[in-house]
Amino acid sequence: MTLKGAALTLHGVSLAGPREPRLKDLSVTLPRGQRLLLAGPNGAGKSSLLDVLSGDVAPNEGNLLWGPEAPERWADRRAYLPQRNALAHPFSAAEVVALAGVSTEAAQHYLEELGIEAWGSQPYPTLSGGLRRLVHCARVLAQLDRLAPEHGWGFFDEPLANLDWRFAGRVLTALGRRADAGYGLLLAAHELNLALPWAEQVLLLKAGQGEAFGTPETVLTPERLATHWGVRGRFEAKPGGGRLVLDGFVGAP
Amino acid sequence: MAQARGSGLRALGLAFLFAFGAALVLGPVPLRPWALAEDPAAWPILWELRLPRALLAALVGAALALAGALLQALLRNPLADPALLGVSGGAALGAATVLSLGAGALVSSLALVPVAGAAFLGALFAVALVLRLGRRGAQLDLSGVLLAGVAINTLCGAGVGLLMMLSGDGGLRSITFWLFGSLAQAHWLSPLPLLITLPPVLLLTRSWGQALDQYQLGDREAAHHGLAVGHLQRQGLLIATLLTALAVAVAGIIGFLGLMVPQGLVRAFGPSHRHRLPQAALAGATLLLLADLLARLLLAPAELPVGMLTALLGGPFFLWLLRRQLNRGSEDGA
Repeated sequence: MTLKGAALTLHGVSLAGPREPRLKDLSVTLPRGQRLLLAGPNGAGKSSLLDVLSGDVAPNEGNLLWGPEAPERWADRRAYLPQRNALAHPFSAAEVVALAGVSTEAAQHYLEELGIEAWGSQPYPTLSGGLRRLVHCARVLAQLDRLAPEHGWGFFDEPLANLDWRFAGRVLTALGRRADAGYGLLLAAHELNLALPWAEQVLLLKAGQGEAFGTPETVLTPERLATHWGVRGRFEAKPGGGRLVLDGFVGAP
Repeated sequence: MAQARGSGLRALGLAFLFAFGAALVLGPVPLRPWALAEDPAAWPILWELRLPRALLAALVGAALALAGALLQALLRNPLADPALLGVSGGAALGAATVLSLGAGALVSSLALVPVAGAAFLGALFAVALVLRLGRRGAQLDLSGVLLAGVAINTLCGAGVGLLMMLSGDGGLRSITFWLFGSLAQAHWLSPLPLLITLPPVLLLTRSWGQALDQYQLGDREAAHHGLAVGHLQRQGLLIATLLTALAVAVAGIIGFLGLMVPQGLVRAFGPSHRHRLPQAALAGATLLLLADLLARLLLAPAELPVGMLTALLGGPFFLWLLRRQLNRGSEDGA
């Protein structure tokens, strides 16, 4: 499949923090149309990077290159699911999705895609935490689908947190579908055992710096699993996914 | 589902017409519309008392409910009300200041301009203060905003009282007027400020529904959808302040209308803001017409200040809503 549209390039991006910088001289080119996983231990700078990519925060140094034909408005460039949502208004789940600018029927469709159509008419504030997250995920998917595939990027900050495996699988399938359609797609997640088999490329952050970018087996070496996450394990590549094999914590019997 | 419920504007419009008609016909002296021609005493009652008063009630009710709907949406707080937040108090203090300086001696038509202007300044000051005091970090805090409103209300109430006592003329009587608004002083000029202001406001805000809905997501996520959050906030708060100030300048503080009407509309027509502002205007007009009718009839031939009546109705409603809100907050945990 030939891909239209430009890759997203970061050029020496730095972002100051209260003590240590949140991002340090990060340079990487993110291709579109691929399932990109943003990995790294807690505090590595994943959310900071997504904030910069989404235009919420301007980097103190460096710049983003979106390509010559990128739309003027940020809202036409990217859809973003931040880590936390503040909504408290008693919209129904379908109405929340419709805030992306789609009809309520279309909204119901997105709820179906994630397997939560049964909650469509339930007031959002009465839903459980995991379901609320799924509703927002559906809203951001709806916004992403309204963008042009050759320009649109989807940034998802921990959409898998607090989800059971079935729903996590639904989310991963939905995100993969957008990547296959040519959208740029970057997913930040801690659920490596679920997300690594899904990912085509992994960007590994450590202390605000880009440590590695490549296929899961080249990036997630046993040494890195041990030093960054404190686990013994390795990633076994196989056609169509591969798997993460874990064998306890470092230092534990 | 909300969309199946429709806009409700037709039903609300009919209710408004009914209430307006009732306000013209009913009163200590009931008028019979079919006998107007034969009754020489009926015309002056209708033309000089009932009609300007009904018009004023409709406009003040529409303005306060619209201001309440805007404040609730923009503060993302179902407990917001122009009077509870101190906006009305600030407006009353502004207006009372100008009056105590002697503007009351002007011809009543001329006095309206400085009084309304001062009310607007006072209300703006109160809004700025509430927003400043009610902030916790970058977020507006529900209890912080309400407490700031309480403090400002107390201060402004005392200020109004002091001014009225010092200025001497009819002291206690006019204190009651400002603190419990009334429509009894209505004349043909008093509806004018709102009559000029409300139509352009409704026109300007007619397509705000989607924006106010998206705004509920929070500043950040609303901006992700392309909403100009700061612009909407400034415009909306300015409009709510202006409408409140003009209502207070001609009718004193009428509380809880801006609280009850939007909350009632949420329950009747669902949470979407698509038709909320025109709905609020119609429902607010209707409710204040009916409340004023009650205020005139309950103790006839004497009458209650209508603001006292809305406070009697609205106070318990507010407590009920507050309790619900606090319970919901504790269920959420985080």
